[in-house]
Amino acid sequence: MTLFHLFDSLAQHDADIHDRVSTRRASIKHLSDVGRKAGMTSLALFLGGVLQQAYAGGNRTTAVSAVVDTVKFAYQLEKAELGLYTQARALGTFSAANRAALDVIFANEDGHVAALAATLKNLGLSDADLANPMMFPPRTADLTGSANATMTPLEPNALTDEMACISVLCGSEENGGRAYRGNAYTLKSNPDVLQAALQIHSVETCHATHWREVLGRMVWIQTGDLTQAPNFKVPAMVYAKTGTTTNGLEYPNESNATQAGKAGSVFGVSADRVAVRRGSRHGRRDGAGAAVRLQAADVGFRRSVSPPVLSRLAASPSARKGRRVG
Amino acid sequence: MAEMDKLKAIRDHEIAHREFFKSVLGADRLKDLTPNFSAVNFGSKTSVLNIARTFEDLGVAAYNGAGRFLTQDANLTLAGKIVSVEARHAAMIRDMIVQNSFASRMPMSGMGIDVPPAVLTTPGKDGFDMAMTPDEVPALAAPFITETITNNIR
Repeated sequence: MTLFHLFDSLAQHDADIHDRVSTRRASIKHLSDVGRKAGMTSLALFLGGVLQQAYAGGNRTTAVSAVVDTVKFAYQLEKAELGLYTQARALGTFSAANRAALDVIFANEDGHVAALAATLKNLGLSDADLANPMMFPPRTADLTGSANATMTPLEPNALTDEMACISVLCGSEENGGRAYRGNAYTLKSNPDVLQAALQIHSVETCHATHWREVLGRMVWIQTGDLTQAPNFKVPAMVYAKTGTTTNGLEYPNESNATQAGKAGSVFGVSADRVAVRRGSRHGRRDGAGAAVRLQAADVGFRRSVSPPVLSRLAASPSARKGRRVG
Repeated sequence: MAEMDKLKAIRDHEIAHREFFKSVLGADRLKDLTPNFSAVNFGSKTSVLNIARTFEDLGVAAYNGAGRFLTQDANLTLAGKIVSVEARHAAMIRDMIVQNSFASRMPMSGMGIDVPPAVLTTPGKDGFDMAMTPDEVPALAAPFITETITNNIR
């Protein structure tokens, strides 16, 4: 059965189908092009997207709503990151090498924004939806983390000091990584969108890694991250065990040494240093200072709560002091 | 951190991951494998780093492609937590080979995988790491493993 036979057979049951869904070959071809740009290859996704657009609103399942909500969140996140990188690229503070890294990451984030916009459209949103300020409140990037001068800056030197700026960008990447990890499960019902999210997530981690290297930090999470230090304040906040936030909620990481309810000693990890259990082929201990860590992210934060770090890095331009809008 | 220390740390992470999966899978796990690194020149830093990068890239692609087969939320989260560390390994090794190549999906030479150049260099089309299926991954790892692995996913 071809795609057009399907529509014709649907038309027998729903006389308005040809009005609801543009079945002209040109529009179907356009969907295929969008699919390639989005990095997804499943025809089923686009067929689902076409039909979902037709029947959206009335028949949308809970699972599909969860997917749409998560992708909307990811879209906002990527747009915020793109805004930060746009702001960073306009600064004159970067060395040639770091400027080149900025450009690499900017291109990636640009690709992410485009891919997620395309995904949203294939999940049923229209161009008008994407442009709707109620659905997607406009955000102005603020590298200093002051929510556009409405809060105390997280990093007041971000606009004038290269490493300070990079620490903010690093924190943004780490934040994004936690977001994807924490919300990936909501995409389970749509394997193609889930896969695309995973493919974006691993790249965000590569970005964070590079900035950690530039900042002279270990590329993986470790205990020292949590200590407030010059040029690591924002990344540390992303994984802070304790601390107050403006909405009273905390987003602590779990103990690294416990995963899936299993103590690290089960799989050869101690909390603070490398310790390989006797009985494995590499049964010796390395010195302190080389900590083995599984990724320090816990289940992250729920999509419905804006992470406190993010909200200060990309605030609504109409935010008033002491009150967040949008 | 010295280069050797970085590689040792990666080794230890992989041990932690391996032991974690052993403890979670129990009797369902694959039997221990025998590596075959005869193609690697351990006297050449470049050779070693390229193979390391290849394995890390393959690992990331494997996790990204396997996510859709995980039915339990907790397992999807755990897989995400592991793949992000593999991505950190991959980015770090790439930067050790060529500075600023941390996000580049360079072709995985020697494993028969070539990312189309247009994908690597066109702005806006990049930004996606690879994802490979549970059928593709064992085939690509096969030259380096003595035993044969097939996936059991139905």
